Amino acid sequence: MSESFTFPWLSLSVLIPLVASFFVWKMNDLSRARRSTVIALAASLAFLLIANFAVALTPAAKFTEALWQCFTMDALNAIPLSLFVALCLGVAVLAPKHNLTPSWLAGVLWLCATTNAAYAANNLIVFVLAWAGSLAPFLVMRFFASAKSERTIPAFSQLVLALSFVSLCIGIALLVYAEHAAGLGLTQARTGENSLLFAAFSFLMVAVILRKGLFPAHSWVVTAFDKGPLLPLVLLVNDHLGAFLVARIVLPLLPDVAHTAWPFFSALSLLTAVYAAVLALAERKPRRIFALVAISQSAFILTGLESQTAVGIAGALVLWQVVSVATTMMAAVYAGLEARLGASLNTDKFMGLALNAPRLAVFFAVGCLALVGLPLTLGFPAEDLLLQGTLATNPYLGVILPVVTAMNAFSVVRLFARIFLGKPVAAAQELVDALPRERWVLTAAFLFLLLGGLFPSALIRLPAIAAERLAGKAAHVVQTLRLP
Amino acid sequence: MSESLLLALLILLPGGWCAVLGASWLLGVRWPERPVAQLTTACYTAVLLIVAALWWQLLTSGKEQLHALYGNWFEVGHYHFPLALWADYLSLPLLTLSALLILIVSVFSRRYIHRDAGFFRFFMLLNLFGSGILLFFAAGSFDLMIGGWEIVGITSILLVAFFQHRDDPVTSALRVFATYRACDIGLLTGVVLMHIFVGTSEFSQVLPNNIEPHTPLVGNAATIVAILLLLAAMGKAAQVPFSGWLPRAMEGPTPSSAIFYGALSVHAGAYLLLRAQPLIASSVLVAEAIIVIGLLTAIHGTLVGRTCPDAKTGLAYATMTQLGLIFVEIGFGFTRLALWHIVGHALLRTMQFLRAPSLLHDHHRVHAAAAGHLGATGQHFAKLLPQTMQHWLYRLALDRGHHDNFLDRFVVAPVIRLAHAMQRIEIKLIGGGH
Repeated sequence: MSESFTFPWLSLSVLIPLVASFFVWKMNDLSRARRSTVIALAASLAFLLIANFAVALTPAAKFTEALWQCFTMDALNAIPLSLFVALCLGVAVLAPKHNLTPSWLAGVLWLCATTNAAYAANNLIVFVLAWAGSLAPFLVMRFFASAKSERTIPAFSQLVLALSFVSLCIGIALLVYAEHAAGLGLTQARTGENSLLFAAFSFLMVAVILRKGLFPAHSWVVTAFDKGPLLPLVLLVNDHLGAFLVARIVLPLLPDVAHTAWPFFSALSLLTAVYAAVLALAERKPRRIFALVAISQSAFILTGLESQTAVGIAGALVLWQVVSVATTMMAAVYAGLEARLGASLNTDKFMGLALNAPRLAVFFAVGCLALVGLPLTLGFPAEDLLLQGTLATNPYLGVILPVVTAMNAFSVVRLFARIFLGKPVAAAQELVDALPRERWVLTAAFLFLLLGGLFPSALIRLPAIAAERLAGKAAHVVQTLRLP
Repeated sequence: MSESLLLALLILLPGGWCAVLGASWLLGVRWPERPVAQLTTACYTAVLLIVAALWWQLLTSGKEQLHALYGNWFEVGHYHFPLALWADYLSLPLLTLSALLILIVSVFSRRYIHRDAGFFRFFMLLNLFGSGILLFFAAGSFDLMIGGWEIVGITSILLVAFFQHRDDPVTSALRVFATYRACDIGLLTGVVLMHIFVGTSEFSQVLPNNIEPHTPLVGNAATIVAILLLLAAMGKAAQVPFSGWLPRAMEGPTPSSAIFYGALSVHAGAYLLLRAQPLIASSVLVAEAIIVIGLLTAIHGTLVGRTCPDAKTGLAYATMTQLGLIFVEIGFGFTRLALWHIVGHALLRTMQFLRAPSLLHDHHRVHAAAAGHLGATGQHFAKLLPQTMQHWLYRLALDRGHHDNFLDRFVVAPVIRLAHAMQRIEIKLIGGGH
């Protein structure tokens, strides 16, 4: 079912942060730059929430803008669009002044605009351009560089991200070349015996592996988290554009090739989840632990998508929300602590920072618990759906998911204990607890995870519809082509 | 009032009060000690009255159980998560016990935790635990049991680390957390397998009852699920070889030790097995495993308990011994005996834990009453053993059966070694970063 927006909600939600990023970049006054960023992101969020409301009323429909056909909104991208803008807004408010510059805020605006363009893309060219745009702040435009901070993204991470873009371009080019007739749209499936389609699939999946940091490409995420600016990188990782590429392009456009190759990629996702979880057990540096746990939990998103069952895909889409909010919340608290203490935290010993920062401790703890699927948080329904949905198609997951989640739970709870509990270090005596601006944003994230855990239906409804549609298409192709 | 409303209020009252306390703290509202304690006491008095009303309804209705279905918590396609609560002759005694003991502990803690910096935190966690344990005992499906089970686990850990300004309680809490999470894998996987095998985890459809007259979960499927549930129960009930966490958990404040490790939390594992009794009864292998594990735990508990230098650790091992015996009773199928053993043991042990801080005072009083002629006790059976065996057992007991060493050496260390090896390979391949 096709519907149209008479007002360009989606275009404005992309254009406002994009235009604002140019103005903010040129500003000299930091508080004015932050205010402008917050206003631009709030406006973008408001437009998206209105559009989201329309989708919620007619969840089976696909909304395209009447003005032009570049952007679209449906049950699959409705929540990710709003969620990502909300995350950017939260980061813009929470970012400590310590290393903040107008160009840093402009980078967040740019990232928000381009990522939204990728989510809302209605054709392959827009998607490729938006993907490139989302990498630009980390590759060519030095948005996040600061005279006060020595943190830069390592060349190795930049190389991997650049390769992911090259791989995506080749994959899309092959996809278009293989079937000219199908055009650049995102609806018509390309099926049949065609080696070019298989090559296109392979390149697209390489792009996914590189961007998402699946094994063996996980190191770029860990190294970047360790050396680079934490909050922008958390946003980059939490856009989950790799998973979105699978859900929006690979699954619907290449259903038969995907069906044949899924066992390999599913195994790779599981291997990544286990590998990163085991590495996190030996890790001491908090930033690297964040990265490893985020990689491990995010890998399950792909496993869920690859299950091709409605329950598994819905679980993956809900886990996406949980991982995004929980890791951003934890990273924001950690970045705030680093700014207060002036350096990376040394967690070889207990630091006891909860002594004077109990609220920051609670926010961090809730993020930890949600990330690993503890009840009372949205993580619990997400993991329940994922487990129920994938076990039928991937029996190993039934064992691996609880084991990996248990390991990740230990890693994050140990990290929480090392930072916040134990005998307080000298610096803990003068630590300032959550500032008012931090308190409100972190409370919003806390409520999202908590209320989402108590009343998950509202957050599961749209992913469930998108999942049923994707699983239905996959089942139809399997039946039509009589695939094994 | 209808049974649906009563069962819902049972969970919502302590849960709601905990939410009020949590929201107040977040908003910076500071409550004085007295109303926090008094309202908690009032809350559990109300819960106790609700349980009494449920008893009345069950006894007068002549039904085997009261059952309330509140629809689906969430659903996707054919899969749904039912919100079903359930009260029968197995869960009601434990619901009564929970309400009563939390009420007693709330009254006791008002003075015991008085003026402690963590007073408010203690009562918030006590209420969170209350809602978790009541949800666990009143759950109408194994899915919902996981919710209660995990809430109990996390509050348990937060209370072990209650004295957070010292390193030792925090280290102990991490150990408890690791053991819980490792064993919870059994519960999670077991419940998912129930869905795979029979499409649901609701008691009314998995277990025999008067709603659905027989269990569809039989044969190898029942055995596999029962083994996984046993793993979960072993962790929570501190059974061999997962017993090392229990003495460490004594780092928490005494009222929480009483309610968690003397009364309710440690018995959650036994209740899980009692609830899954039809599955256990259908598998001789699992029943025998439960008996063997229970016996080994009882022997281990009684041996180690004799070498403990402090009262709370001694009580922890005494608890472990009784839990072992309860497991043996469950293995033999003596479910009613096991249930009353749980109730009696929880009441006695709570009393002992709450008296533990006054132990020396009590001892002096008894000593004085006996005119200074208190003899040594507990040596009767030890004397029957040869001297060398006594020494060997003493050394074994001093090291707590080498269980922690065994787990550290053969389970934890290989995983950590593997992790370090992988880390070294990564450093060699991509360098830097460490």
